[in-house]
Amino acid sequence: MNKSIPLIELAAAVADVAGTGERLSELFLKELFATVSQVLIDRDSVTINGLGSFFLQSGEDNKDTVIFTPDESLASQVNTPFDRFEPIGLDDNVTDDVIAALTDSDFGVDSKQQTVEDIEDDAQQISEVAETTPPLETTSESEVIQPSQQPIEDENETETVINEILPNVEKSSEPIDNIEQTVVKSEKPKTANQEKTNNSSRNPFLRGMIAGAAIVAAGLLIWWLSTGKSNNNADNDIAQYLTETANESANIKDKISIVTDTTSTTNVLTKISTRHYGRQEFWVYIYLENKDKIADPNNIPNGTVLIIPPAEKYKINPNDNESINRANNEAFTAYTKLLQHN
Amino acid sequence: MENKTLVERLARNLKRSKKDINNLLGALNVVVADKCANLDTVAIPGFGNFAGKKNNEYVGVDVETKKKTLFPPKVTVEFTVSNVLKNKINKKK
Repeated sequence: MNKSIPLIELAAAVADVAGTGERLSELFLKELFATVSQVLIDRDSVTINGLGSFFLQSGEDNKDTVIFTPDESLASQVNTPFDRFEPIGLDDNVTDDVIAALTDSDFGVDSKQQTVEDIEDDAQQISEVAETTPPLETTSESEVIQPSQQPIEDENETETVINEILPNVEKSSEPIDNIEQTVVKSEKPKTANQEKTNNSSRNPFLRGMIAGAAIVAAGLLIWWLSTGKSNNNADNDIAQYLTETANESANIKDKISIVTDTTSTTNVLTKISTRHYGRQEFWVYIYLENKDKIADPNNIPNGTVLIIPPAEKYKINPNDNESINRANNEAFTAYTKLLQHN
Repeated sequence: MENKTLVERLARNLKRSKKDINNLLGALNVVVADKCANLDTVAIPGFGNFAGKKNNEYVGVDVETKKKTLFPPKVTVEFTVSNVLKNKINKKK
């Protein structure tokens, strides 16, 4: 924002978009504006399709100046964030004080806190995931990050321990590897404790108590296996338990995909939105998702890596007018807040 | 001068096809729109500046009906001619 783009940088950007060399682009720009200047000096007007028209008009001190009228397409492109907004008629009872109060309450603290809280929750989740993912490489295209999965523990060792613990128990016809692993984690401490108890204490009474407890536990296990529960139900219970433990385990990591995109001179929010969501109006959700990185959506430094939220999160649907209108309202709100801060 | 004549002259001077010139003109439009939408200024030495300007939302009041209307913010392209070109134009006047 408020950057001055010199001719060289302009030529590079034009070459990038046109797919030509920078030298040709520079020559073209110099020739174009030299020609337009000469036409104006000759007191004629010039029209460039897609850009606009240049013509002379008398100004101060009887001196002519150059007036530029932008082409409709250019004006629309430049005003894209606000293009869909229409003037809104206000009721007669809406005074200036009411308008000021409306601005403060509806677009001020409450909604801001809600938005910040939502983004902070999301940011915390994302940071937790980000800690488990490899660092990003900045490119001009979007990337999908998939963290590496560490190898699972050796299965032979776990199988031996299980046979020692439950020698008389029938195993499931379709053993699941992760079950054995999980069982090992919960049984290993017991095994160590049992060994310690057996080695240190020679009290027959205590020995008998421990043996009795083991028999009761085995009986419960046999009962559980033989209650007629299907393998599928057992699998579901175990799968649920695994899901909970996997989140806490440091050895097994879930695969989580994060979509990102990197800003550049020509890769701005609206273009990123069009690429990922099909319409540029949904740029505001990318802005809200990365609000901690973006001070001004109109001026994002090149090379900024932006997280692209899933469409489901904000109910983004390029074919739904309601979704588009909701995005436009969000953009209006976002800009209003920005203007208040500025 | 119309766009067609301008394209022909540029194609002749640069010894390129009209298709190439139109392609470059289209790219120029895209870049200028991008820069101005970001409220940056495109500076052409000896010619002038294209700047993106944001006009804040405001409440307008109809003088006759006294009806209030909330107008949304708007971003426009403003062109400022270079003094060099302005002097050349008025020198020939």
